[in-house]
Amino acid sequence: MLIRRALLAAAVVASLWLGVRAAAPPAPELVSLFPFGGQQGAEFKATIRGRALDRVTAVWFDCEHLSATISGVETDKSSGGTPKKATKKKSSSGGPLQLLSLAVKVAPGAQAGVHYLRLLIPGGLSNPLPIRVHAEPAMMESDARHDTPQNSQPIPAYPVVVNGKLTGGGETDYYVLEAHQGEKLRFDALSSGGGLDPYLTLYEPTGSWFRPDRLTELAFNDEPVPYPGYSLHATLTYEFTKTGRYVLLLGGFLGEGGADHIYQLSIRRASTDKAETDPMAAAHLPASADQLAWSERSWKRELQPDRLKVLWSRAVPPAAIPDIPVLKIDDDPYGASSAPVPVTLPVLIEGSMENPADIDRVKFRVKGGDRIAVEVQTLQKTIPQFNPYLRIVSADGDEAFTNVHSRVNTCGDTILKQIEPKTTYSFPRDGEFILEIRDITHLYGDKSFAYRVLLRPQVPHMGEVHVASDQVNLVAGEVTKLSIDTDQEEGFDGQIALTVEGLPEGVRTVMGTELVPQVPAPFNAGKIERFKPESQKATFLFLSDSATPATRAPVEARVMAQPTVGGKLGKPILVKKILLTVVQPAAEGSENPATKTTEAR
Amino acid sequence: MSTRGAGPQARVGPPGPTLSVMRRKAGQGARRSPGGPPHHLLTLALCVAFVAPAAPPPKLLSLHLTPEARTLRGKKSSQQFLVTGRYSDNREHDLTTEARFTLSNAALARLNEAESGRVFATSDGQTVLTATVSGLSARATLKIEGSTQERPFSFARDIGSILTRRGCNGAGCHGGVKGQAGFKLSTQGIHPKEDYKWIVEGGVFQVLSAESGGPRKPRVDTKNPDQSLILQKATMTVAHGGGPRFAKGSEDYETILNWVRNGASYGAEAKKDDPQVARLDVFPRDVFLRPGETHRFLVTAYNTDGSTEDFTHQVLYEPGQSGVATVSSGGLIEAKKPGETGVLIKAAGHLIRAGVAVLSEPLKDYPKVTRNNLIDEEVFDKLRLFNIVPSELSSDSEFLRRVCLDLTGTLPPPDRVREFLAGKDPKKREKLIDTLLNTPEYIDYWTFRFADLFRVAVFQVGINPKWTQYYWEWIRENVASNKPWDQVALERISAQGYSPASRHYLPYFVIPPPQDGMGEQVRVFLGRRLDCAQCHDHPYEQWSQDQFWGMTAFFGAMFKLGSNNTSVVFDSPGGKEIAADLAGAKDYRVLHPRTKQEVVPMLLDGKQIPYTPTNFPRRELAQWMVAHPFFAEAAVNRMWSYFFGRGIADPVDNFRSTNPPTHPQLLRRLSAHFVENGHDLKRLMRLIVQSRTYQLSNRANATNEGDETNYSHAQPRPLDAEILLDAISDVTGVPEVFSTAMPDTKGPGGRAPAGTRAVQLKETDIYYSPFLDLYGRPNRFSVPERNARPNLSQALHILAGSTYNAKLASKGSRLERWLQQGTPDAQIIEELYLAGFARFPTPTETAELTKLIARTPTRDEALRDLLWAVVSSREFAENH
Repeated sequence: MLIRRALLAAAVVASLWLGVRAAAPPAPELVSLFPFGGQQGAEFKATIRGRALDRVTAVWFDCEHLSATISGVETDKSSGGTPKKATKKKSSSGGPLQLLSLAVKVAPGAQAGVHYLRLLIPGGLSNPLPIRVHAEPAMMESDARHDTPQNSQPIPAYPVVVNGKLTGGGETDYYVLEAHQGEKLRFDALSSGGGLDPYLTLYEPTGSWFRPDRLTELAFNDEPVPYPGYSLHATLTYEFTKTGRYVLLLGGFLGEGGADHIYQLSIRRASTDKAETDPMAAAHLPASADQLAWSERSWKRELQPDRLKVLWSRAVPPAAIPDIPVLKIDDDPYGASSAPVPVTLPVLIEGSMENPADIDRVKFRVKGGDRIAVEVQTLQKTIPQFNPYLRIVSADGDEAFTNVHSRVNTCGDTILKQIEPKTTYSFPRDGEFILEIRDITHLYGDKSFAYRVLLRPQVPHMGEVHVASDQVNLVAGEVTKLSIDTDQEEGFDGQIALTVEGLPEGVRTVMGTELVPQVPAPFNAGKIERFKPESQKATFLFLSDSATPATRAPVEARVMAQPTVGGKLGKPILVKKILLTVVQPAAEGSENPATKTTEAR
Repeated sequence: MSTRGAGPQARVGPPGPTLSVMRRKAGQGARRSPGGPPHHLLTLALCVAFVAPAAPPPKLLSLHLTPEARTLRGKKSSQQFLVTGRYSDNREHDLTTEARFTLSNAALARLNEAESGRVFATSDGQTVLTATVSGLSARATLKIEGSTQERPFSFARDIGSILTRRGCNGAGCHGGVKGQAGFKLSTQGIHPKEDYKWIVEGGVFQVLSAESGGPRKPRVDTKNPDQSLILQKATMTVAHGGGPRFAKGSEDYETILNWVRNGASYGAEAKKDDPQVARLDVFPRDVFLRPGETHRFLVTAYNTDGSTEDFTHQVLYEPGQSGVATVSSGGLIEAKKPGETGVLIKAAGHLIRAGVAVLSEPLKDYPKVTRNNLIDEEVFDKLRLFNIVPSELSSDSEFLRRVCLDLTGTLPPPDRVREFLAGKDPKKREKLIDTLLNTPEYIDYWTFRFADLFRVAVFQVGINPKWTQYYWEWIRENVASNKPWDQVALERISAQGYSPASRHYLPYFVIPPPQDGMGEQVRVFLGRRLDCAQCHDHPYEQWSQDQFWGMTAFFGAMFKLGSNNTSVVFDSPGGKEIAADLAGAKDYRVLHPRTKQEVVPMLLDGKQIPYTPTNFPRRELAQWMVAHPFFAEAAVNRMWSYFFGRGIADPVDNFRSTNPPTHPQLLRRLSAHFVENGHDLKRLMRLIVQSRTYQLSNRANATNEGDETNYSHAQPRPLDAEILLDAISDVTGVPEVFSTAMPDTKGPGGRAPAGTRAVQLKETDIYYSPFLDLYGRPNRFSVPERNARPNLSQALHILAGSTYNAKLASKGSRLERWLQQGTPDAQIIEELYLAGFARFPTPTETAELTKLIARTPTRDEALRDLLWAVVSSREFAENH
């Protein structure tokens, strides 16, 4: 009921603007949310910082368990921190920064993890902001200064999530907590984005001969190792050897600070489970997650005995597809000098690099012209810590191929190398070959360097489908395009039918064309064909006539892809959900509506 | 020709006496140096040093002939003998020139009248050589074999030795990088085949190519041998920039002339089993003389078949300080004036060094000096030998300030100064040392030191502050846990993966050229600079271009894997270039710049470690390096320099024959101590600061005021930029604010956390600080060498710079607090002295300053001036 009322109110407000038609009004630009999350079952006040926030009609969450009430908008008078990146076209970049106050409700059933929030205005749907739901109690950073060890803010209990902000350059937030002997705590400094890249340092207030208030560093965050890529989040796990008070420092890696430098500091007992989850992982995946989450080359994708079935499901499958036999190399009897284990293709090999410089080997026979694919999955540690290096050599020791994609830089003076989780190869002749599996370094290895390697014949199939955007703001009477790239793996030469389902009334799509610059592979691309699929571009044109009513809330439409081979259709596959909003052109001279309160899903 | 023999040649063997050995008993010395010099030399050194000048005229007691037995083999083979006499004053003198020599069978050998003590073989058999001086005699046995057998000609030996002995292939002449006047020889004849080619075939040498850079014009003329350019130049028959090297008709001239006459062949190619010179040795290794005295070197070549050969007259002697001593071509040293000099002794492809010390007159009543540990034993022994009296023990105040700065980079706070100065505990210094070694400031300071050495900087570590901090934290953890230095080195040299130590291999996100990586690791961990051998054989050392590139090849299989922010360092398994068949690819293998051949990884000792699919040669290199004696030697030398302002060999990363350690035995003992104690840096530091040597006062006495290298008194050392800035912040009570923003730029910029000290900056290069730059903060682009010399900009900064003046006027400063509290002038003066100088002001200072303040119209201003005077004084800006 509330939602309906809110949307109704939004519709009324929107109708006020149906005066003189003009270009679509700018969509709001969201810069930051503070605090950027809350506890399950809690309600908290939050502030969105951004531009063009004064026409908001609804707050949209990607989860039904989250809702918000807007309480007002005001100009950000402090406005020290301008957003570092201008958002997409039609955004309101350049307008004054505003503060939108809202009360957020997190229902107990909300899944822990990162959700997304957007604002709806007559100009369309805004960019998303992450909002993190957590199970731990939350507390706010104190208004009182706590920028030195001496005035550290106490953490009365944990687990806890502290919501804070580094508002000025060089600002550091100190917290003090009591920890017990033998206790192992995990600290996460999570950035909401906005340019903050936090670090953590744990100190013991030991004092020193020179200064009685001197701290002694115990640990520095181990970021960026825990998460692949350039993480904005810092993690520190520490086991306390004695009971006492400890000081935790949170700062920006380069001493950065500003209005959007917002963090959550999570303090909790470290999990005994070695595989700690990423606290910034998406909270949930929608239905058909397996399809939406399809990743052809992720190091963490599942390689299971049914892998052939899964691959064929993205093509037109044959009648019977057997499971792949599994070879376990458990106790690592296969050192660097051990004899290779004979296998026949396909085979799924499970093992680990238990010791530095371990090499696991299997040998297999192929016929000339056999086209195979080699895939690898990392089960615990992954790149950049565990870098599985696959090397296929002939029986006489000649290297046939590896999973290292090498190329030279443009100047030709440096070789760029990338290790790939999948590679393909066509054998030119019959023969026996050996697959060597190892970490590419010589120094690291233990049971957490666990892998699955799949050696199989190639399966021509539809690969990843890349949809250019997850939202479409369609101005009534206009056309908006949505580009889609389809990857065609392992020689897939069929067609891919694309459709959009769930469009609102008055909106339709037609296939269009767009000019795609023909860019030949650069001279220094290396043997890219072994590591990258062929790809084709398609374009949807979203059409509506001028009478199409504005949507009161974003409509979730589904992009479907259906492989066809030899005149036969495969199964339709959901590849993307997009949020579609129909908006009316801005009326010339229309005034901004008064600040209003709305509540929406 | 070669000689064989047992016993005597063993004495002309391994490293000879060193100063520290001399204070040992003879038996101990013999155990430490089997086959070393006779003990009479040690006695000689002691006597030279300790006997009072007014002693009665000494009496010759005994005579010794060296070597005692020797075998000469081949036609024209010869042996130089050395006669030493022992006197009643316990001194020994070289009496070779004064001795009368006789042979028991004169038909077997010939004595050369012009060269005292040199015997030439003439017939096979055995004879006894007797030397007689003042009625005393000494004997040596001489066995002669194959006296009619000509040795097959060898260009390397017969011509190469002349070129070396005459200095033709020295680094300053044709052995230089490009040679001279278009004529290039390999340094000291280490590549005889190439030398032969340039002489016989002619041509102009090119650095990076084996091809001739110009027309080939032979330097020998086999049709008119005496018209050969090599002879005409050497005799100045035609103009020669190097001057005459030998005269027409001289033995060397005739040798070359005959060689040309006989067709200028290369001669017999050395076979694998042919005896080759394995090493040279010199006796004595260290010589101690008074001005005007002479002594002779005996140089022996040890061949690969175990035989020996007298090389005394076949080498080139090059004293480093010819003002201290000269050496004739026959090895006769002549002492000139007090001092020390090394003498490089060069033969074709070989080089050794001997030391000559010319001592001043001995002192009467040399004081007994307390010795705390092995450092004092070595340092004070040498001081005594050179008749230098060490300064007094430093005052408590002096010691406190020095040890705090050296161990923690931090000035002691006034309360601690009072407490320490008032302490009566006789062990208070030892206790303070232990306390300081366990402070967090110790960790900060040594992290800073090693961050300097290991080049922690954003622009050197992938332009990535996260990597910088990751790398810095690794260093910090190493210091905090006192990780053994060999382990630190292993981790850094062989770093792979995404490890913090591997980040330094990715400046600007790319693996640097392999020669850069190798050069740095050798410089940091072995204290040697091989860089000169990159383009050519090292001009002053025996490092060859082959060695340089052999070492470089250990770093030649390194690659970066992955995107910039998650780059992994790895060594291509098997060393095989994975991308060799790529379009646009160059040849990325490590190729020898001259031969263009792929280089196999090779240790400095010549052992090759080719890549295999499973091995990790860079790791093997790291293991070899940390086990090599150079490693511990370089480590202790570097650490020593942090406490004394100079290394035992200085610069600390440039050990070479021409830059020998001032205290070789101290270096050896410290290295041994370091290794025995598990490469424990903290323990080494404790040993150093516990020594009386370290704790000596900086006040010189009449005997040591000119001494700068023997640690007879503390030398004032300018504080490094970061330490000085922190000290100013401490004394003024105004912390420095470190910002990444230039002052004239808009925007907030990044800032280090409030209260961050300069030594705690993890990525020092991105913080703008004119002060740090003025006072020598290095950019860490290469292994830093801080320039401690004062400059005009510093003076101007002291007068008008923001660091000094802003802190004086800053709110919340220590001075402001005193003013607000109404602290009396005398107390403020005392506090400032304690904070800045770690001492109380003298009554005169207090009185004068109080008067000065009273005379100044504004008290605040007067006190600010006083504070300025303290922090800008030399006493403050130096560690002394």
